[in-house]
Amino acid sequence: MSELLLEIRDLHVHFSSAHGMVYALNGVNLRVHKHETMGLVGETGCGKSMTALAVLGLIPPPGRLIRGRILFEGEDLTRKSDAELRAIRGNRMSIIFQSPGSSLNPVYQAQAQPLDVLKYHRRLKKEEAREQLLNLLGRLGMPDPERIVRAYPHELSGGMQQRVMIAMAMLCNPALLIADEATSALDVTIQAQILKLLKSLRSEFGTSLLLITHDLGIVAQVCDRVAVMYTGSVVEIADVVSVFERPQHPYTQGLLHSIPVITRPQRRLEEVHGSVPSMIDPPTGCRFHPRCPRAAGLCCQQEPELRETLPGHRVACHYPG
Amino acid sequence: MVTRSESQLLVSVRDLKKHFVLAAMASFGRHEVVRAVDGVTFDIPEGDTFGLVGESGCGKTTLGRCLIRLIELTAGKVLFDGTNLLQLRGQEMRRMRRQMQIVFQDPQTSMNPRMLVRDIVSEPLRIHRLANGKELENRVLDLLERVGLGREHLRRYPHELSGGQKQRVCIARALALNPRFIVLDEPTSALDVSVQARILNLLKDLQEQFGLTYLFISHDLSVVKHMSKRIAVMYLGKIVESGSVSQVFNRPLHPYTRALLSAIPVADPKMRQEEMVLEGDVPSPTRIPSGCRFHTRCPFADRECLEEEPHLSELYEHGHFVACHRVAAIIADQQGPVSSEGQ
Amino acid sequence: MMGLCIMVAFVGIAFVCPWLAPYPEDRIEVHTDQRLLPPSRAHWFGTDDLGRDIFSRILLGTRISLHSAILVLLITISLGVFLGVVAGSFGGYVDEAIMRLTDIFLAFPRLILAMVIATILGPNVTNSIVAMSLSWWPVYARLVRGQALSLREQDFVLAARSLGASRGHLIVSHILPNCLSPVIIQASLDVGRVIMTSAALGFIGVGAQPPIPEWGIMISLGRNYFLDQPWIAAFPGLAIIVTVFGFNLFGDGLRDVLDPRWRSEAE
Repeated sequence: MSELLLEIRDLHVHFSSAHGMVYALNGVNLRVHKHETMGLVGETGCGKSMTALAVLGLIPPPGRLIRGRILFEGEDLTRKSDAELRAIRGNRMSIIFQSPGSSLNPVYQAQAQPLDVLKYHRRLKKEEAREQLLNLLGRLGMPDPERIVRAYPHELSGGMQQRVMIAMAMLCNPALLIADEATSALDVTIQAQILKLLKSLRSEFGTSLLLITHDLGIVAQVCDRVAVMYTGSVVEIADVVSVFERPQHPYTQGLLHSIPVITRPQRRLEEVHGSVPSMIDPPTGCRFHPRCPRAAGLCCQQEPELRETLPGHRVACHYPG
Repeated sequence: MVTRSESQLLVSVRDLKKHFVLAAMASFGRHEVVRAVDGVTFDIPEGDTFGLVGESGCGKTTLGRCLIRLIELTAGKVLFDGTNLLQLRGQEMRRMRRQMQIVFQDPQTSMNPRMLVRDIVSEPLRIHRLANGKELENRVLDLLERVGLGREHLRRYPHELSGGQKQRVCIARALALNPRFIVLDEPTSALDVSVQARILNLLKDLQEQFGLTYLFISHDLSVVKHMSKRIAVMYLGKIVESGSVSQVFNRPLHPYTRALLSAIPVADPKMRQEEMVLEGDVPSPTRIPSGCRFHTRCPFADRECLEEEPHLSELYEHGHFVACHRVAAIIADQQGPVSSEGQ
Repeated sequence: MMGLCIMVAFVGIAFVCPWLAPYPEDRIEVHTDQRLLPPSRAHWFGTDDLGRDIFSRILLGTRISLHSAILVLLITISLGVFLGVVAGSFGGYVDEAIMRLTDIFLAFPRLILAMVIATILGPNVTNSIVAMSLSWWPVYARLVRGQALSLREQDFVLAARSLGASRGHLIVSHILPNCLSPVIIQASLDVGRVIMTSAALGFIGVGAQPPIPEWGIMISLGRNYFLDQPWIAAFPGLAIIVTVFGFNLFGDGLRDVLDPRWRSEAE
């Protein structure tokens, strides 16, 4: 196992809202190593995007980090000032979002924001910055980078826009790139291009990737390890083959059996009963227990901790397997 | 096309075209035409599910809406149980609508936010004056129960329901008039994976129970494969390949179909796919390429592909149609692994 | 909330003013021996150049302003919403025709148009109401037409069409109810503006005529005495400000309340 790059320990984030306190993150534990592609998978509301924002120090108000540590390259990000975090964002750690169209300012040429990154973090002049940007776009396999950078965002297709975003994120050669549903808004064939590009980042630049998605297929094809999230915490984490072949947590099992897989025709899909609970009034003990086919006495009383049940495979469940 | 002697053809589409004329833009009054659907032909036997796949801009949503005349066609015909839909007007068409319904992709926007669930589901019955008073309420309850909802949902507003519940209400509404045919336009794309499973199971159950015929439109190939018997792949307004689900998925002929199939990430880490990654972007539907419209991204394209548009033909298997000049070359290539990365 | 209070107070006063005002007779009566008195215990806002108690006249004036506002808005909304819904729902030539009509009306600055119409018809309260209505309806027509146009393409309208709904049903059940909320909000904001405009017409002399205690005329009459007896013009002016402000607040609050997301059958 290579060196640890990012470690999230017992992260709790709460939001106060008109209806009550929303417990968005409830003790997230996650480790990403160098040169590794980690998948963070879960359904709507499980907290995966919030985790990414927390790591970057961008939790939207009125959210607050209540407890926990975020260790990046050995330093605790929760203890850092705003200015220190800004020096890290875009530089040592970057993020790309779902809709590249909304991430790019429509009144500036596509090159404007990437150039800003270089100006801010590397103090480069416009000409040098442009050269670096064009260079990088070439390495990322973009046809005709000259034309692309001068174009306005609306003149570029979704795929092109996302490549510009990736380039912008990679300009300072960050150790970690977070991709938050980066391909969900793209067509399948374009998604394939972008995923191929993301995969190449590790071989070209050695970047670690935290891939946040709801698509288990992407996780299976692109990631080395995967963490499954449910209602604000990680319920299962292991390497990809282990999770898909020997899922331990009932939620993971339910999820895997409910997706139609091309290679395995089924008459009916398995269903996960019930629905995602409200994060204002979550169930006691294990938050999955109302929907769990295996729930027993202990489950409604005590929240399970992440424990290693198989080598390299950790689950938060009282009755895993 | 396929004619089954045993089952009736419920829906027949012949050379359907829908062109949108965009208002004249900067260029001196020259109108841009979006050829959203550009000549589509297929049949759906009664009781079957016909899958329609393609990426954004291929025209599948437009096609679905044209089929039930929610949008007027530019050319072509649609036969529903033998009747040419285009010849019906006013009252007759409204009556015909009772037999064909649609479920939209986004359950939130397909319901009037100011109406209660009870009124949303009862609306079709009220429009056609099929029931009122107590009987109306009973029928609504019955419909809600069919889709797995209950009395407690009657007096709720759409925004008070979860995504899955909203879509169930839309399905209940579509069932109200006892239709024979339902167009399902990406019915689960806006839903979470676990909710999707339940809705898909529900749709299958309803089909068995009521003998429904479905047109299932989606960009998600795994879902379409799960639900359909026959499937057509669309690209820029035309069908490029169609056949039974096993024919198209196990022996894809068209390079676009193969690229599509290899692009779907399979949820099985042991099957790391060798991708046939297409280069370039989808051309704009206002500037459709000459000849075969896929040639700009096709790794097998040659001269003929630039000049002449291929037609759907049944080349190798009965019931398996493909529109491509280079099928023979592709089959030869299929002996080895596919790893052509664009050119 | 505050807007609601001011508004309720306004309407309340309008109804009960004859009982509230200390000198109700001053609507018309004149007391030349008590001219130009400054604010005092007997006359809270002082008296004007004809000895009339200003406070009473302001309270009496609420009735007139309310009367004008309600009538103008009633006419405007009926006309505007009807034409707007028809234009938006039918499209094509009907839409074009109605929109050209609104264009013609909108080509003139509203106040000037109202002035001209009022002058032609003759200066009195009724005619000023007609004049204001004629100059105001295009705003609502436009507003509703825009809403109707965008609603036509909404999925739920398409869904109703797929169910076999006739055009009439679509308009009445789906398009109209979703158009009304911006109309209501606009109307509540416009009450203030109508009051302003009728005061303006009164000020110029083409609206209510003396001795009617309309706020606009009161300001106009007070103009001549502004340097030495500012209260004559100032208090009616203040009344206008407070009322308009109150209605604006109310309109803002209404906008939030009308969002169906706030509603639930439980309440």
